[in-house]
Amino acid sequence: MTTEYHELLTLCGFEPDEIQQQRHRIETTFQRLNLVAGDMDRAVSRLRTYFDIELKGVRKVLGTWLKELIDLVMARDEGKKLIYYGYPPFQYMGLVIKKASEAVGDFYIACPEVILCETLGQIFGKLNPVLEAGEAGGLAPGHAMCSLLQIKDGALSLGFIPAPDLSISTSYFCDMGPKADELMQYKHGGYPVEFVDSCMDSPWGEWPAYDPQRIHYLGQQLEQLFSALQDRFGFTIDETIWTEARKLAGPLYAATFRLNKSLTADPLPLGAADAQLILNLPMGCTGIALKEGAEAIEIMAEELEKRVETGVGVLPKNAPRVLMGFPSFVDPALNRLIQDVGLAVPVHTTLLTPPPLPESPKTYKTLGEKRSVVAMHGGLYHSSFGWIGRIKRGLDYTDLDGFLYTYQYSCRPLTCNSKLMKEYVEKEIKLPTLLLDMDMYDDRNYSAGALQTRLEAFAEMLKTKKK
Amino acid sequence: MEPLNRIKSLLADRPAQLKHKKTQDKKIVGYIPGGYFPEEIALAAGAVPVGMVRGGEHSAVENAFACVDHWVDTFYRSQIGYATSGDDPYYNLIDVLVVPITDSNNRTLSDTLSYYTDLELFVYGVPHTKSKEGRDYFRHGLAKTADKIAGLTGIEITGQRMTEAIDICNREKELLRELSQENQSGNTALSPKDYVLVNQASMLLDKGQFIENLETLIRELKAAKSGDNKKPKVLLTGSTLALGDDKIIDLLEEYGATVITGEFAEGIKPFQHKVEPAEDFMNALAETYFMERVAPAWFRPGHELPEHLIQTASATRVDGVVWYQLMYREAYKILSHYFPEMLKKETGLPVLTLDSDYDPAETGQMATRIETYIENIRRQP
Repeated sequence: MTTEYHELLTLCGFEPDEIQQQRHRIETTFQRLNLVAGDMDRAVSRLRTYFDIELKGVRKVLGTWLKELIDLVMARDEGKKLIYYGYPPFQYMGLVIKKASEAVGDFYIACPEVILCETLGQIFGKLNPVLEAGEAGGLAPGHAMCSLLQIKDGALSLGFIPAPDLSISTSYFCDMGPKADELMQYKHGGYPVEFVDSCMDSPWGEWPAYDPQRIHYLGQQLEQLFSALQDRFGFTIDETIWTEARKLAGPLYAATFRLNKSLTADPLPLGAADAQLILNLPMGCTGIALKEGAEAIEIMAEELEKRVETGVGVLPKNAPRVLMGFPSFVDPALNRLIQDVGLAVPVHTTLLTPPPLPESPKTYKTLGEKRSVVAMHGGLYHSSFGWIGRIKRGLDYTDLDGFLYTYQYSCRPLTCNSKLMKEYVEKEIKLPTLLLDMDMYDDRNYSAGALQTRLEAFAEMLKTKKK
Repeated sequence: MEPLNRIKSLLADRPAQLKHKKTQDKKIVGYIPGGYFPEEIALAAGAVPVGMVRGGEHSAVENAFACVDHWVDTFYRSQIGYATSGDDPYYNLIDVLVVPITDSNNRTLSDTLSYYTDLELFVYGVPHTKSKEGRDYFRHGLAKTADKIAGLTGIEITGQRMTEAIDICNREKELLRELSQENQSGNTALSPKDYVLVNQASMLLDKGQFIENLETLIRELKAAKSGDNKKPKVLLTGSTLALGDDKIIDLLEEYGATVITGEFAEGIKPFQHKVEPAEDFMNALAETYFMERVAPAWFRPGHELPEHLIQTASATRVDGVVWYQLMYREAYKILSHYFPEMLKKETGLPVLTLDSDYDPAETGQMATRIETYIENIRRQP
């Protein structure tokens, strides 16, 4: 099927000799994922419709995601050991494990469901069979089950991705992730699962303060994970590794920082669908995305700087600027719609500038405890109030016209505080807020069409207010 | 049975009784009935513990929608509905609501009520893994709670007071266990619905009055002649069985089943383990209420609950298991997918899984499924 995928891969910034060299891996991957000629045509059409492929950087980022997909699918065939971590990851735990693994052997470490979202979702629009397999496999439809977990389970059930040698569960954040991991463990050969537990029991209003016992408990859980990684794979995780791990993604963070500076311009030079492609590179991947993703974003940043210089934007000058909760990880039509109704999205909640980090109290000795302090500070793993408070503080550093709080309806920790978020932000900082439940990982029930009316009304309101 | 009638009558009068206690400066401590709040702490501090165990009403679930999304466990949405309604007899009386934080669903309750109501909330965490560190964290939460309640009542929790409270609660557990044995042995002199009601009354009534009536009730039960024991016997288990959520038991009985009530995450008071005397009371409480309590489905790893249910089903020689879960309690829903296979493999017993959102519209479908299930059990050789 060389000719069929050639156009797609070329569009995604693959070089001809790269396609030739990677031919076997590409074809094996596409075959395993049941991607046929018609899917290639559809992908090309989606990219041309929803993404700013005029930008070489965007094309390269898309290509980076495809390369991560190929590496994921081929990892077991190529003799690698696999470690999966859940979403959202605990800080940059994937990178830490990656760094620690370098001294030991050949490992593939990633959050596979995110890679599938960005590729089978964003690029191919072909996640439905995976979601359906996840639903049939125990994460039932109609019960607000996390579709990201359905994707992971579905992909394992369909043989799209290999079962891992270890899965690290999101016990520090949600209840469904760990339980779904147990389900998958039960169904897919009993692979080991490590749980990093925490108790999100801070009372309303406590953040950024916290009960020191929370630090001891979460810290101990992290230390337990480090020990398990040592016992199972011989990894050593210490403060040096943790520091070095951050450097692994240094070029990626630096390029993103450079790009983000252009997003402060008016008119906004990049749409929400394209910006979304960057968000998960450091969150979901620890492999080729670190290098090639960084290069792609550098290219994109340079292209955007030129747009800013010449006053080119994806929206007219003075378009309302909104903070967006979470973009869709799978549906570029929905992300594109936000731009089409006239809303500029310079930043997402997860990219808001965090408040300055306090010095870790000297009473905390272990690496686990020190990282737990950072986790409390970040808000999301602290409490509902922590997440809301963190966003409120982040908004102090930005100049916005509104808050489009899109959130994952089936994520209990987010559902838990969705209405509170709107009430609190509107009351405390008088920022018009649209609360928009959505499914970031599944466009079957929350399509762009279904959300259009509410988005249009919100955009019109902000435009009128801005006049 | 007279003692049962007295318990029912006491339940009806309880809000008025509590109101009267408040005029005598008694503090009322409401708590979420998931088995993680030791009533001993409230009693030792001279307060009155009251489990917020009411549920089963769709109107309360609907009321909650003004404050919270739909995709939260039904029981917790109904608690939000009651608490924000302004006319709930118990929420209007409590001085503090203690919420042991077990998962995102009950965290939703504490956050929402903290923001939308004037209720005083007190939270502490229940870790999701049984370990020494988890137990220590739970113990830390209990100690904070004890300080809070003692501060509220102005009564110091002395060793003497705690010993007395533990003795009372141990006696109650002993009696609830005896009652459960009658239920499990198929003694039909007390209906399954009344068995559940009595267990739930333990979370609402004055301890002295409750224990006195329960002692008499058990004596009478033991003396009573049991009814027809040839009906299919099913073990009822699941996420939450609230006071007033009678539909499931009514339907099971209507279609001819004898119901044995098993483990629930909320709504049924755990009674299997007494608190052992110890120098460190908080350690003893943490041991019983955290380490020994059967771990609900959201614990990780989560093998304890299915193992316990398999063991109970075998020991009680039931003909099947009915898994009753409330909507959006994700850990139960997920476990309900693979637990039937585990049970079948170990015991050969079939499982019927039922979901409820306290919606009257679901009754018809539920009835059909129960009827079919019981019929299938009957036809088995």
